[in-house]
This record gives sequence, structure tokens and C-alpha cells, in this order.
Amino acid sequence: MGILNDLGVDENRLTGIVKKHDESMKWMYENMENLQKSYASKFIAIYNKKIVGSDAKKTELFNTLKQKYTDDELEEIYIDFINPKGYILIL
Amino acid sequence: MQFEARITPDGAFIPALITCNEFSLFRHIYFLIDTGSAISALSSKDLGGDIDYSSFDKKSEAAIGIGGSLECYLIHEVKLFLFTAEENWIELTRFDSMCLLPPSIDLLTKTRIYLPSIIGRDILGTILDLYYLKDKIYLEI
Repeated sequence: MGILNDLGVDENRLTGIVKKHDESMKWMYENMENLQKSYASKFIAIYNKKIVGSDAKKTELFNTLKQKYTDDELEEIYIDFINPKGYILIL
Repeated sequence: MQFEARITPDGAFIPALITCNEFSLFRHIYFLIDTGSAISALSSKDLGGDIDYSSFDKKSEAAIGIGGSLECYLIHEVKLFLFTAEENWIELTRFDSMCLLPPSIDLLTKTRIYLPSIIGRDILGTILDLYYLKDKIYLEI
């Protein structure tokens, strides 16, 4: 039993989701220049190396996705915010 | 035990999961490894939806960085779980409170910008050692 199973989280499932999200995040950065042209200042949803939704509001995006995808698929969809081009992180 | 970072143009990110009094996040999120930040913080972009900040305590200090300052809010009784290189989850630490970062607005363009969630020096160099190599970045207990 993993520590998250005690919280009601299926650790094996979550590990699989991490791997899917890792792939999606990698794809997002590989395509960031194009994404910033089309989706600047929006939340985007990535699934299997495709953009499957976007919206300025995360809640609206999630509600749209809920109508198209199963709960399992929703968990595997990676959502992130696309900052506009021209900003770099100096933290 | 090691925690391998995902290397991106924006920096190195670690998969993590948190629970707190205000909510439980059972989706993992990516925390940026940030030795420039004194504290760890959760970005509001990693929460589920629109956030009513009036329900959160405001942190007495603002977050400052290059470009200005940002008011931040507090979440309480935070448990931080990290994903290990061996693909297990461990509870790394607990915080009485953690900063919640709202989006900031660029004053020139009026554009909304989000900072990432951050693992700062309250963890780096204290609970975890950071190894920043040419082709691999990882944390280690």
C-alpha cells in the first residue's frame, strides 16, 4: 500500500497519469512558439500530443472537456496556461 | 532517495501533490525548482478553477521579484508529496501554511501572467539536496 492509497488515491493510476502528463508537457515546450501564437493568455488542454481545448478560464475549459471525455481520459489530459510570447521567468 | 526533474526551457520541474485544509488536490502538479525563492509556493493556475481569494487569509508579506511585487494568500496545514525516481510517492514534509500565488498583470500590456508553483529554499538545501548537472537535475534526501 502506498501512502496516497490511504488518502483514497490510486497510486498506480496516478503514476500512469504522471507519465502521460510528462509526455504532454514535453510536447507543449517543443511546440511553444506555435502555441503562443494561437493560445497566448489561455489555458490549453493537451491529450495524445494534440490540443483538445482552450479557454481563458480554466473552469470553462474543464466543463467543455467534461462533455467530451470520460473521467479516466480527463485525468490524463494535461492542462496548462500559455503565457504570451516575450516573457521569461527570472525568479 | 532521488527525485528526478523534468527539464524544460522554463526550468526544472518536479511532480508533486499537496493536500491542505482549504482543498485537496488529487491531480499532481509540477513545481519549479527555484533556488531564488526563499519559500515554496502554489500557483493558482494549478488549482481547479476560478478562485475567490476573499476566502483565503492574506500573507502579511508580498512576494517580490524582478518586475515588482505580488500579494499572496495562504493555505494551511499543507502536506507535500513528491514522486520519486523509483516511481513511488512519499510525504516529504508538512507546512503550517504555504503561499498561494494569484496571477499577476503586466502593467504595460495588461496581460494576465501566471508564475509556476515553486519549490524554494525552505526545502532546497534543507530537506533536499539539489544536484544541477549538465544533462540531469535531481533532488535527493
